[in-house]
Amino acid sequence: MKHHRIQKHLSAYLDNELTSVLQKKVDDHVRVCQECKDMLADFKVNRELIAELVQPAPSMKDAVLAKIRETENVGDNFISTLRRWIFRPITVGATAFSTVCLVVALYYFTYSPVPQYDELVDFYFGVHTEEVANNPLKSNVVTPLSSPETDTEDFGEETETLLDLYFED
Amino acid sequence: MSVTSLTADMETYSEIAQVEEFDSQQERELILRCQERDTAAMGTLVVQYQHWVYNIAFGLLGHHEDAQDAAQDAFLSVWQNIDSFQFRSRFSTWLYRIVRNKCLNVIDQRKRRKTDPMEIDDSQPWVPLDNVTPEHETLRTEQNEILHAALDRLKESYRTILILRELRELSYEEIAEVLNCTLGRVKSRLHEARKALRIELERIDW
Repeated sequence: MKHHRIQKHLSAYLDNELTSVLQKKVDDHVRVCQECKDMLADFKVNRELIAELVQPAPSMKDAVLAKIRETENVGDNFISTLRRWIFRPITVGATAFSTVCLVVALYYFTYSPVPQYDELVDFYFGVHTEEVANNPLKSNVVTPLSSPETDTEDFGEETETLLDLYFED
Repeated sequence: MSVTSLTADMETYSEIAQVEEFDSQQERELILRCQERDTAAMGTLVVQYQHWVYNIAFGLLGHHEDAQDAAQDAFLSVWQNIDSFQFRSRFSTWLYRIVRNKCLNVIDQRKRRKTDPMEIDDSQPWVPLDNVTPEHETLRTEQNEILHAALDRLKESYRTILILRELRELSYEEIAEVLNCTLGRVKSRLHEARKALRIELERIDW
C-alpha cells in the first residue's frame, strides 16, 4: 500500500480502530517510514496534551436548580400578574363598560329597521327599469331604422290604394 | 489552599466519584423522574454529568466562565426538553449534543462581538506536567492556553471531534451519534483534525 494511503489510517491506527490486517500493514509501514513515525508520535503527544486539559468542574447543581426555579417562577409570576391585573377595580369597570357597549352595538346592528342591502338594490333597480321603460330617450336599447318587417308591414287599405295610384303614374 | 476551597474541591471530587457508580438503569429512572418534573432527580443528573459537560464546554470554548455558563444553560435545556427524550439514543450523547450546540451559540456571539479571548504569551516552552512547583504550574497554565489557542484556530468540527475523542474519550460510535454522522466520516474527520492541530501547534512553535 502506498505511503499516503497508509498515512490516512494513522489516526485510526492510534485508536486501535483498524482491522487486524490493516493494523499490521500500518505497523510495518510506520517502522520504516520516518514521516509517518513522526506524525504518529505527534498525534500521541497532542492526545495527551488535550487529555491534560481535564480539570475538576465547579459544582453546578445549586446554580442549575436555581435557574430552573427562576424560569418556572417566571411562568408563575406571569399568571399571577395577569390575574392581579384582571381583577383590578379599574380593569373590572372598563371591562364591564366595554361589554355593555358591545351588547348595545350588536343589538343595534342586528335589529335595526334600516333596510338590508339587497332590499335597497332591488328597490333602486325596479325604479330604474320603470323609468327607462317610460322614457325611450333614456333607453339603452337601439331600435333599427329599417327592418324586413317594415317593408311587409300592413299600412292599411287606404294607404295601399294611394301607393298603387302613385306607382301607376 | 484555604479550608473552604479544599472542602469545595472535596465535594466536587466526591460528586465525580458518584458519577462512576451510576448504571444505565439508575440513569433511566432519574430521567423518568425528571420527565415527571422532579427537580431532585435533575439535581442528581447534574451532579452525575457536570464534570464532563463542563470539561467539554471548556475544551470547546477555552474560557472558564463561558464554559460554566454554557454548561448550566445545557442543563437548563435538558430540563426544559426532557420530555422529548425518548431513550432512542444514549442520554450522554443527547446531552453532549446539547452542550455542543450551546457552545456553538457562544462562539457565534463571540464572532458577532469580534473579540479575541485568546490573548496569550506563547513564548514559553512545553514542560512535562508531572512537575508541580509554582513555576511549572504557571507554565502548565500557559501550556494549556497555547493548546486552547491552537484548538481555537481549528474549524469548529475539528475542535469538537478532538475534544470528544481525546478529552472525553468517546468511542467512534458515540462520536458518530453525537455528531450525527457515519463511522467513516468520524474516522476521516478525526484524522484531518489531528493533522490540523499538529500544523497549528507547529505554527505556534512552542
